[in-house]
Amino acid sequence: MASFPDKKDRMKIQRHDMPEQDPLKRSTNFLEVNLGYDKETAIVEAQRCLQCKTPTCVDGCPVNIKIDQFIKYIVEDDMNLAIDKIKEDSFLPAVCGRVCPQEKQCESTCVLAKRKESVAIGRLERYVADWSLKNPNLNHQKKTIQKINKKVAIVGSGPSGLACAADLINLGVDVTVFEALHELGGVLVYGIPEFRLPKDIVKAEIQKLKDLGVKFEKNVVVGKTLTIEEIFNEEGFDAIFLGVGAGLPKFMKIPGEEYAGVYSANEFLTRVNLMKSDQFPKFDSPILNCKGKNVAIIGGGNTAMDAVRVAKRLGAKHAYIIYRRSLEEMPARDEEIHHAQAEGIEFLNLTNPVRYIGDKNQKLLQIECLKMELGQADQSGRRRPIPIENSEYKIDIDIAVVAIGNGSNPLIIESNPEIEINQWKNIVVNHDNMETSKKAVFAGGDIVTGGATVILAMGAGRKAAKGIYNFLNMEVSK
Amino acid sequence: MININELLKFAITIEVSSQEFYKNAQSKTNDSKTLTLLKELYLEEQKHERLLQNLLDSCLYDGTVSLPSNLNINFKDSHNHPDESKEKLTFEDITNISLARENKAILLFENLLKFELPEEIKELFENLLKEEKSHHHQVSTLSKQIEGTMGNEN
Repeated sequence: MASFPDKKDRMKIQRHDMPEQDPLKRSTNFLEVNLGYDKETAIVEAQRCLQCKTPTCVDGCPVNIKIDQFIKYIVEDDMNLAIDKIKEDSFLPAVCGRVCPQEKQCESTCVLAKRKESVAIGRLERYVADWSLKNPNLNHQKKTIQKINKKVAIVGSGPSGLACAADLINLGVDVTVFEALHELGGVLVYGIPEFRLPKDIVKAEIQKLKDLGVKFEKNVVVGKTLTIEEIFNEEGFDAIFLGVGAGLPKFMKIPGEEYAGVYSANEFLTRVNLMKSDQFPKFDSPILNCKGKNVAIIGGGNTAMDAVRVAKRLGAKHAYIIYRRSLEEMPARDEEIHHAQAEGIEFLNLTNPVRYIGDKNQKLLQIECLKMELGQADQSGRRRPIPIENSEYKIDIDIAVVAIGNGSNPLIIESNPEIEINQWKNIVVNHDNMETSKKAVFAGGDIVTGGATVILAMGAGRKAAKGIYNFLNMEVSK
Repeated sequence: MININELLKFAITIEVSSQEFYKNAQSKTNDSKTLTLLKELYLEEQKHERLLQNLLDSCLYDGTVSLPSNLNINFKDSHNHPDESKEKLTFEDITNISLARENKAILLFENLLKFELPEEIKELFENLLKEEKSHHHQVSTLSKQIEGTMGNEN
């Protein structure tokens, strides 16, 4: 069994790169880009951990995974204990190990990052999670759950809903998840492409919830085919968790957005990720052919990176990112930006579209852009983009995808005016327990915060599960 | 002149003073959202304190290396955003104060890095600058998260 080397020797070990598909090859396929560590690499990388007295990496994780402890088990080559330790705090480690912005969370608070490179925590989490998926019978996290006679409905099967369901089922609550689409996983399946998060990984993680007894009902649009009142009064649920995400695309409100060829990132990605339009006519949801075309994605977040890399894989001749700030301010994960650059994505930073130009048939031909510069930082350090006068120029574009964020899902809110919302139409909750203004209705994830990350949504789902459980117990004691 | 260990200890006292500020400020609002933000910022400053303590304990830097005598560091907690003395604080006030506090720390290290520095000190300052930028990002995210305004990616 391996052990931790002397501290000075540990610091000499270099961080291990993630093996990945060759950029030229991967930009033509949808297979996963990152290939994952093998066991030997994982153990040596784990040996870099200093096992701090106060492990500040745990502070950096939104669900406070006991990182130092699971890493110790990797070094000891006990992956059973490692996965158990992770699962005390996170139910979706194979997902989080792939899509969490670790460089801004746990890895940024790893003390090694203050002089060298942090331990590759995300890659280790992924290694353990993948090991667990490949060795399901070796997991020994089997415990008897004492059932309580309470039913909770979870609306939405995205990360917040799944995390909430996982915690509640483990507390003995009867849990049913209602999903509007025909596939489970919410943004994990419709938003994140296969090359970043394979659907089989999501399915395998969801299967674990099914094995624990969570029930799933697909194609149920709460707020339309089933109301909240019906869930309470006719279906007999004791509480509801709303984790319906931020699925309403935002547009820039500039001329020409109605032209054929202008998509929202939501539609573009959903058509490819979920409805397999890249395989049209084998699957019957078409998308405009990107092959040999100029495709521009407007925005600088992870969704923009996903969309532009999908366009490249669909054969775009030029795949551009148009972003009004500089690379430094880009909200996308560093890794996604690097991957995109390696795949030949062209970045037009400090550039803002002002109008779309179409032909007589209203088909997109060009985007007119304005050059921007960053103004002086204000007292808070924020630098706002300022247009440069007379800097307009046109760029030939066949397909544009707007990825500037999403608003809240309006269905439930519109059909339940008693649920308080803020001016951006996100649900207002008591942040201590995630309860909304409507009794027994809780909410979390993007519908509360606006579009954020998978792990933040999971954190909210877990907090809500605690709030719901306390609420159910209080109801019992009345 | 002070050495690296003393500098880190000083930085810890600044984090502790920020914790006190956010704790005391809780009496200056009745708004639940603002109160949530203040509580979260208090916890955030505790994390910053723990990270600096961890850095000190880890001996990643040679703590005995002294800073050059020509370095002009103001060894006082000089956070003095005009809104800090207000009797009542709003969500926006707190967001601006906290971002300004983090920005002040960023500017401090950016200025210090303009001096000719021993390699050990230079590397420390570069990393502390990165750390302060990360704090600025965290504070901004926290405020947006509580206000429900995340996800505007452009």
